[in-house]
Amino acid sequence: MRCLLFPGQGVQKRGMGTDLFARHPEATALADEALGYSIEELCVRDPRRRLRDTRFAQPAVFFVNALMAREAPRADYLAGHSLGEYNALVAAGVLSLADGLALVARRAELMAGVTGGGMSAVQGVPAAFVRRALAETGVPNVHVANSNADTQTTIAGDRAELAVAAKAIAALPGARVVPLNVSGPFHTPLMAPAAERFRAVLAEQVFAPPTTPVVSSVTGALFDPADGADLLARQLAEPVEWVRVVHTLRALGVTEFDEVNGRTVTALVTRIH
Amino acid sequence: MGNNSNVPNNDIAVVGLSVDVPGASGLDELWRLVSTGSGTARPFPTDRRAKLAEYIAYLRATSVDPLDEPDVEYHNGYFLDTVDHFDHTAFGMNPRQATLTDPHHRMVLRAMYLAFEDAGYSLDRLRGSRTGVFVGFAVNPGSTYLDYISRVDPSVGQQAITGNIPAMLANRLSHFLDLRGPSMVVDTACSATLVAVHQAKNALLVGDCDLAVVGGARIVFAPVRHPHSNIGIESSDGVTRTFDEAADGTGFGEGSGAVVLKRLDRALADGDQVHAVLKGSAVNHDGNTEGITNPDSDSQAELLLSAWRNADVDPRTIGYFEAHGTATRVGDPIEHEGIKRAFARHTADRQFCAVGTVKANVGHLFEGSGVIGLIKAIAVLRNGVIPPQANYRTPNPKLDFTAGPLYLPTEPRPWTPEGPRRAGVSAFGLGGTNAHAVLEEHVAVDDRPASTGPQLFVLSAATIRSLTRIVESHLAFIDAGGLDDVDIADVCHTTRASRSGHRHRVALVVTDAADLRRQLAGLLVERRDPLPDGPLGEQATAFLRDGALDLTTGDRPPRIVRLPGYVFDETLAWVQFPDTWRDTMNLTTHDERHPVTHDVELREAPAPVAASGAVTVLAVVDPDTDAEDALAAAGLGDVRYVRVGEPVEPGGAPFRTDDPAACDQLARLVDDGVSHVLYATAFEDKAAPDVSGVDRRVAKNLGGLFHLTKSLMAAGVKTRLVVLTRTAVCAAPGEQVVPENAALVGFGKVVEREYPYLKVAHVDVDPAVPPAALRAEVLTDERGLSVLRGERRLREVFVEVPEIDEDGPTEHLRAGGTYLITGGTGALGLAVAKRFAATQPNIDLVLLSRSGLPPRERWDDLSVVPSGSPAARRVAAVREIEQTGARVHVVAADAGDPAAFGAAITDLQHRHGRVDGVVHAAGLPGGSTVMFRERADFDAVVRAKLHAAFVLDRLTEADRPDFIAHFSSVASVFPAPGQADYAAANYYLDNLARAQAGGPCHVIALDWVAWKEIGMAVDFGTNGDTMFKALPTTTGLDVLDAGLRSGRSRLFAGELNYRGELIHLLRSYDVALSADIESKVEREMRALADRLSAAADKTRATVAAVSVELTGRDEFTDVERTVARCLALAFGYAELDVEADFFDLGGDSIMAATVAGTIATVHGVTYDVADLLADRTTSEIAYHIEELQAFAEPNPEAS
Repeated sequence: MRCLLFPGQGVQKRGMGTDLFARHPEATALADEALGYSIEELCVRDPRRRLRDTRFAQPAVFFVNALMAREAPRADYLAGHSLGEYNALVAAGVLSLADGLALVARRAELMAGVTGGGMSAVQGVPAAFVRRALAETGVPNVHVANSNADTQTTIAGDRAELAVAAKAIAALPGARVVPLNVSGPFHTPLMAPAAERFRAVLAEQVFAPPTTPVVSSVTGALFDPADGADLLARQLAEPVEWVRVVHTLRALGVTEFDEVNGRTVTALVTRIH
Repeated sequence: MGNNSNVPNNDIAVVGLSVDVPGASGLDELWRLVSTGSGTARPFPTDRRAKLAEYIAYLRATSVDPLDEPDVEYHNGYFLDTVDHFDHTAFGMNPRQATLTDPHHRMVLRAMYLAFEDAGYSLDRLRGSRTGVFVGFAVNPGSTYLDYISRVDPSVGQQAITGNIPAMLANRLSHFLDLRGPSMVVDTACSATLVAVHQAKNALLVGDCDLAVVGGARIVFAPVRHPHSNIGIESSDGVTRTFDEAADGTGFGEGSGAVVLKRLDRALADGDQVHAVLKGSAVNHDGNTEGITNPDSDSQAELLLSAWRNADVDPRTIGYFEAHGTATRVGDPIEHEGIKRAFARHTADRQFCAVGTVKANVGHLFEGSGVIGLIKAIAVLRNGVIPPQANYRTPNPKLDFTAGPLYLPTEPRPWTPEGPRRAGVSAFGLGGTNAHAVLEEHVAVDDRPASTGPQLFVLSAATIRSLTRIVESHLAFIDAGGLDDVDIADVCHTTRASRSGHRHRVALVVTDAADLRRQLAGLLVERRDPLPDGPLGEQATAFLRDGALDLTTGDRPPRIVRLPGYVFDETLAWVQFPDTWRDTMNLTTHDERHPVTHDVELREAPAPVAASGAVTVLAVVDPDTDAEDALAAAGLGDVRYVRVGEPVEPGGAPFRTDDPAACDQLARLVDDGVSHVLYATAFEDKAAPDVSGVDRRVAKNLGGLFHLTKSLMAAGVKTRLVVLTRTAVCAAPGEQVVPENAALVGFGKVVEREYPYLKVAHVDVDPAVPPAALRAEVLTDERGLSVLRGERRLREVFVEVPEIDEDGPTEHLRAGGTYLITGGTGALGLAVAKRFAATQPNIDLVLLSRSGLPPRERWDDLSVVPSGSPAARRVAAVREIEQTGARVHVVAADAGDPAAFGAAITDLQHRHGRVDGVVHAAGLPGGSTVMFRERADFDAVVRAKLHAAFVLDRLTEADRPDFIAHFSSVASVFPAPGQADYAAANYYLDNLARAQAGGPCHVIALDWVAWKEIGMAVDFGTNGDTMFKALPTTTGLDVLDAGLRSGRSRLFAGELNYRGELIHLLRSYDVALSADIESKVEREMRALADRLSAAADKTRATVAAVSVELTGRDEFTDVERTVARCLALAFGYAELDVEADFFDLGGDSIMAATVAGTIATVHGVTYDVADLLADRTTSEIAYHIEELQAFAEPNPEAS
């Protein structure tokens, strides 16, 4: 069976989706209307260099993902990494494109509002080693934010503590720590205030039953629309359990993983055993 | 455009040019030099001498054979006054980049820029165009700029590479101007730029590009006059006297030149100015002449004939010949002879063609000379005057001009042929590549009406200073009559097309040349005419504001005309050679030798230090052993026992150590606050009797430890892991032990290197150990192996073995003997076989390996043994061994498969009788950390060594060989992460050998470090020097020989790499170092620290000396100021905006590592390339560093 995967923030780059917008004029007009700026200009030319900003990066990635998904063949399962989960939900019919975009825009705003933190990618050692190193280093405000692959983890938290943690982790044999250009401590408890405000936004949202099953990046289990608001609110302050997502999908019989908008998350799949 | 249809298609127009040689900048000045027959070589300029003095002194002092000559003599030549200045702003470089760029690159950029401007092209018009760039260049013998700057600062290499590799000469311009045509450097020695012209012509004709620029540049970096450095064509006094009796070579010439080419039809259609028309050209090679540097008149004649054919002109119409003219008494007559022969094929007329060479005026520019000759010929065509040959007094008697087509003019004379003026240009390369071009004058026909009305005139420059000088040069140009008879509309059009690309701008609305002059003069005194109302005024305003220009033209087709070129705003761009090199240089080296061979001894040690803290022990025991009794007696306190074969929790399945799920369950128990995990299943008191017993025991004990460790790692627990064994480790040579359980020691050594939160100790006891001693050993914080025998406590110590006693057999190989080598067709196995055969040719060598070799009768079948394949190399090695007379038998069997391996040995015993010696070199490398290791892969590594060794012993029990040499590894003492299986297996071999000491068979284990030239480490790319120097094959084989001739049971073969940067790692292992090794490590680490600290001091001092002005804000923090200094050091700016982006400043990822390192050193923080690439501006970098410093202060241990 086949699963279509969606990447999240971080894959944005100037020029993405160049020919895509012309092929989907209605959706593009809808996005321009909802966002109040030209999504095509942002993605393709980005004259004001706003793609670096979470506020703009998330709607941009979401929308390009969404248009690409429209052109992708049907899949048996869907899943998305963090922001990409919204694309999975839209593709599954749980959310409409317009609702998805509105939620993503609001989510981006709330997330961008949390500053003073950072994220770093840790490669070469298992997540268990990273957790132990964090515990031993005594940095209460640094957390594992993504379990991306067997030996690929993202940590996030307070910027100064993150530097200390990075140093301790880098001392583990084989470990490499690379700071990520992200404004906030996403997917950690430090996001809790933003998550709570987002929960209020989500309370108004109706989640339709999926036409294609979606695996949640928060729980690694199938996404139940009844818990939709809770899951998406928790997503801001809880780690992305990508390894679990992939294990679940494999257990469901998925052998083929495809991805829209690059190879970022399928590359992770090959590193999950 | 109908009037252009009769233009032959192959004509190429020279639409722009530039030339800069000593005494002549531009075409007019070159013509003045040529037409007056001027040209004198002069001494190497004083200023340049002074700048080179220290460098030359340094080179002479540091030569392998130092040259003790205080005086430096320089050649005379045609030298430029300065080669160390450059206008980096105009070419989008930062000062540092410019400084690290070869002057040749800078000159080529300048020359080509000016040629483009002359051709009527601004940067904007060129961007994205299909323009080709062709540069003639060669790196010449002697010093290069890269060599020079690298000696001043060896760390600039990476940063300087793009400014110093020849390909960049062309590529940099293409990149800078976004030119999409071919971009290449042609190296054919002295003909290079003329060959490049030929290449460019062809590229235009086949349509590879629409426009092409061709050029070259040449300086003589250090024209030192010394017998070592002459190549035989230098003139004795630097003066070039071509065709003169006194000719003795060419003088060095310096300078640059470039031409811009376009198809003539296109040029006429585009309204370009046409300096001359390239009618045709040819390139050939001398072929196999007497010597590669000898010119050949036949080839030169052939060249001319083919160029004339290509140009489709009658040679009799060629009135001027620009000769290569090397000014040597051999070369000149050969060239003359070639010309004569070629003309003779077409005409018998005499003395109708003037000959000359610009080398007499400007010297020999080598690769650059071709294009300079071409430009000179263009000047001759344009001016219609045959110039006199400079430095020509008495004809060379070998040149009989009267009988040939040529004559040598001694004074200027008008040149008025009936048809168009035509000229030829030759250039010959030292290696035999010849080029010739045929030029024709172009007479422009202008039937356009005169322009009417005011016009928009613009100028621009990258700096205000350049702009002022350009205005001044235009005034001078007008005053010298440069605009006489030129329509002001064409002048203005030319400026709009080609002078508009820079940020500082001038726009004037003018009516004629006089008006232009008046307004330009007004600019210099800041009395600017107001711009008129109307469209022209608006255009002018728009141009001044954003540089935008409307290039569309009216009804009167405009043309490009000659105007003064850009005036560069040059600043010093040169790395100064320090005069302190004598003080800082250290030529003495001490290359201390250290022993190659070592050993690990078990030495008596004091009782362990007791640890404090609560003790909760989880002990895994095998009820079939006495482990639980021993532990109970030790009185460890709170102990929970997990027993093999009994359920962990009531009602659960019986516990098995090699059950991953059961081990996960244990790990969960540990996570709830267990301080010690005691792994005591390997407590058997007797060695396993047979191979299946060994297999079961290894699976239970080593396999169990593997699974438990994996589970503990996966759970991320922090605990102390104590492995307990009973007489597994051989405490004294020959001790009766349970060898298979010693493999756990090797495994344990790796665990902590993969996961530092598991602290591993191994305790090996005998029944006489007092319970209190066991208790103390379990509860201490010490790591590593403790062997307890009764009251004695032994610990591992790594010691030097400077001498290997020859207390064994003098001849370790007996004539007629049979020797088995496992892993025999591997590189190490074959090397051993070869050494054995060389030592004793009369032997049977049995090479056993998994893959074996194809049957001998098929060794020559290429489908079975493809040439170059590993099999072919093995076959060749076997054949080489057989040359000695030794008999080689290749057997395929897997040493890791006891049944197959046993059968192979039995078969071998049937065939050859007694096995007289064994080298057990079979082995698989470890491959992955325990956490990600599959059990089957783990077992395969273990079995190839452990099981195989057991089988070997069993099957030779009845008739022991003279020796068994087990190939073990550094991994059993100093393992790396990912080697748990490999370390376990090798530790077993080491221990086995020690336990068999004193027996009937000499068993020896050899712990090899990586072999440098062959074997596993080479296959995996790990054969570099690390803590140990990689082992040369010969040295390794010598150690093997010495080991076999000794009575030793163990040798560790590898020389410590004390001066390497990894030596400190030696102390991180749980093996103690002997006092002598420890003191050497200490000394070298201190020396390394001193070197690093000296380097850091130097960096800090260098940064402190940088002065840079920060802009963009009123106030700056101290850290911003020091960060700015670090960036200024990298880029060379005197002024820096606090928000300027690293990449916009000219940074790239190659530089980033260096810059980040400097920032880290100066501020005493950890700051790396990823940080820099994320922060990017002075202000962000400083913010980040202040944070790092603030966090480090209250917590000094963190740094």
